[in-house]
Amino acid sequence: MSQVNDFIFGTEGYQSLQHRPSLLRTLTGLRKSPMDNSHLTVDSQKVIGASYSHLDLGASDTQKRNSSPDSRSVHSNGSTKSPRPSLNLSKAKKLYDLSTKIDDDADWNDDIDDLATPSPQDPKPQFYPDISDLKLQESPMDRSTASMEPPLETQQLSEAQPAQFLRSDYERIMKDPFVILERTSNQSKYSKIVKALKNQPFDMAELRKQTWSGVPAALRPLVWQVLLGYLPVNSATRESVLRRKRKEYTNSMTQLFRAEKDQAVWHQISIDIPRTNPTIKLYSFESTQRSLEKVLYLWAVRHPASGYVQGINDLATPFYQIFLSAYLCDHVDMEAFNTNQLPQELINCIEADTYWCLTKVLDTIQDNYIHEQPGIIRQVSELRDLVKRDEPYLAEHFEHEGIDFIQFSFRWMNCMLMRELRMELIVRMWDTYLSSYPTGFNQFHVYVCCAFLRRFSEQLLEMDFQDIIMFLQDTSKTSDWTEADVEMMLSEAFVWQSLYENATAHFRT
Amino acid sequence: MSSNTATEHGQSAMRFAQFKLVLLGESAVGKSSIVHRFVKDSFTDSRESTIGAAFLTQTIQIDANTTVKFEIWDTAGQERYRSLASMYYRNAQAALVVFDITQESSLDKAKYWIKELQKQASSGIVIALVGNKLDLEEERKISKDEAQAFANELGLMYAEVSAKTGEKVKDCFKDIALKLPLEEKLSQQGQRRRRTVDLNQRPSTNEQQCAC
Repeated sequence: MSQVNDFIFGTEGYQSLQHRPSLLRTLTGLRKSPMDNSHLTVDSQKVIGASYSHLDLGASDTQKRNSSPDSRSVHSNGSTKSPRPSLNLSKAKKLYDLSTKIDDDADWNDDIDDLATPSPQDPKPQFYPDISDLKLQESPMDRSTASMEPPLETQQLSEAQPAQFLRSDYERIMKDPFVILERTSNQSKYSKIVKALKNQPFDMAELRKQTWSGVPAALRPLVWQVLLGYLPVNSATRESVLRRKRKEYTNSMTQLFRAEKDQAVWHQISIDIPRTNPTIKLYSFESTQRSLEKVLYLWAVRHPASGYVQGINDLATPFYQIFLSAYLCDHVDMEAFNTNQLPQELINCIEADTYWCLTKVLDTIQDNYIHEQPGIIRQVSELRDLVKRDEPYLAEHFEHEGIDFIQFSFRWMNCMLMRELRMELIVRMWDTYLSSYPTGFNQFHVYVCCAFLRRFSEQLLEMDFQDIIMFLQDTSKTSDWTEADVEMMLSEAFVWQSLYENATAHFRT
Repeated sequence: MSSNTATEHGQSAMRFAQFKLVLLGESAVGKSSIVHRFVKDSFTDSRESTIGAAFLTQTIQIDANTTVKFEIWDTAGQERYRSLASMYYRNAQAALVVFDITQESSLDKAKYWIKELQKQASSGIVIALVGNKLDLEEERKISKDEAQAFANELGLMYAEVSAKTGEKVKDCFKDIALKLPLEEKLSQQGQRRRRTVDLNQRPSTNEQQCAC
């Protein structure tokens, strides 16, 4: 580990790295959370690295911070912190502000006021209208594309015994996901995260620190919602807030489907749903497809500056399946689970939670999806700069071969590497991204992409244009990856980010 | 890849040329499926949407001693990615503008792309208007006459194919290859090779050399 210290703090550490690009790969000691390493911190409060620059904020007033519309501040932070001029940011910012003005942010603000005083008028037991009948009719236009699609799994199991696959306490979890803690709190591997969740007063920075190196599967549905500031930690208001968010979702959905459909948006979503995660059986079931369709359509209609853009469908799926997993018995194979057998009330909850959490993430990367996608252009350009500095031989080779970074990394940014890695690995990656929320998806991700590319430098240096492009777009290169590979990549990204921030801070003074 | 390289046959008259080809068209009309049928002779019902663009190559023999290699950029169809597409059609010598014969709006989109290509792409670009999903003849919404008439009017090639069954896919690419300015390309390649030798530069690694 002293090597790492030298890299980060030694005066010629950065220089030497430029000439020894592969050295970092050998630093296996970084597998654990870099946040555990006190020497990575300048003082006890602040942690080096853009993804943690917000930590000091978290400590003061978590509740308020969680509910605030972070997106705008994130955006301006991102642009002011960046030592390089960002592309077309003013235009993006304008569009961005426009979109945030007309989107859900107002809803989050409303909730801040409501957090402390749950409305007594909330109808308790029947907390949302039944939206099961809101299945949208396909227009004839939609149907013609259906022939391209794989056969839809519409088979419904008899409603006999839901207990076979649902946890006996699923209804309690639905009302309050913290019930999950009852079955995990005795196990030591969970203890630090559980402790962080139970801390009084709650300390978001501590939870982030404990979740950076991964979240056990059983806790994931709960932890992700807390990290995003969707699920309140405060037990006094938790249930009512959750109930309200879900009700709000179902109300919006009811309204939305009474209004005239936006055909163009609807058409694009309906042709993408059947080809979302086609290799995972869970996504072939009708109930799954209808849920995702609704979530994406509502988001698109509420965010007209971007609307629905291909790739957003991919981003909704980790939430959908992780939140679903909270209710399923341990023996159920979630990725093959037939969602047609779920009770409607539960489906509504999963949809609403997915919708709100997806919204939280998209808030931080919305300029990836607005006109001309300036967020992606910026990220690709940042990646190019990082590679030029960190892996100069590779950058030179790419230039010689006529490779443009956008040719291979556009998809990495647009889909957050979801097309490059298996779902189980993406889920692990998201633990870290979400623990770095709100900068995980828009800043840290670029460093992760750089680490991803560096993994293949040696092979790439031997290839010509055609082979490079085909190799980088081929997803089978990560088929033998395990969580350890992902963790190595995340750690490397963290070190590079720290290094980079440190180096530029040094230049500034 | 089923390539017949020049060297496998006699040295004397073998000719080899490569061309850039781009696929354009509305989302879900089957652009990627056509390419996969052509390149890998396979089809799947559940293909993920293309993000950005995908790159593939395929070599076909157009006569006993002429081989053409296509470098194919298969672009994403969604409206949002439209500004990216110019990057891919900029230097293309051929374009497949695809529509879905069962989807009325897709022909309008194809017309848009053709207009854009005629304005922005290199002047000699060979454009083929291609109706896909011929296997769904009973659901056809766009008549062959209508599309063909449009193509004729603009002097474009026209083909109807099925990526699913493979019908006419290879023929379509072969027809394009036959329309490409082969002689011109061969002489360019020859010139470039001579220049390379003259200037004593390192030979470009990604350029297939003609064996003649």
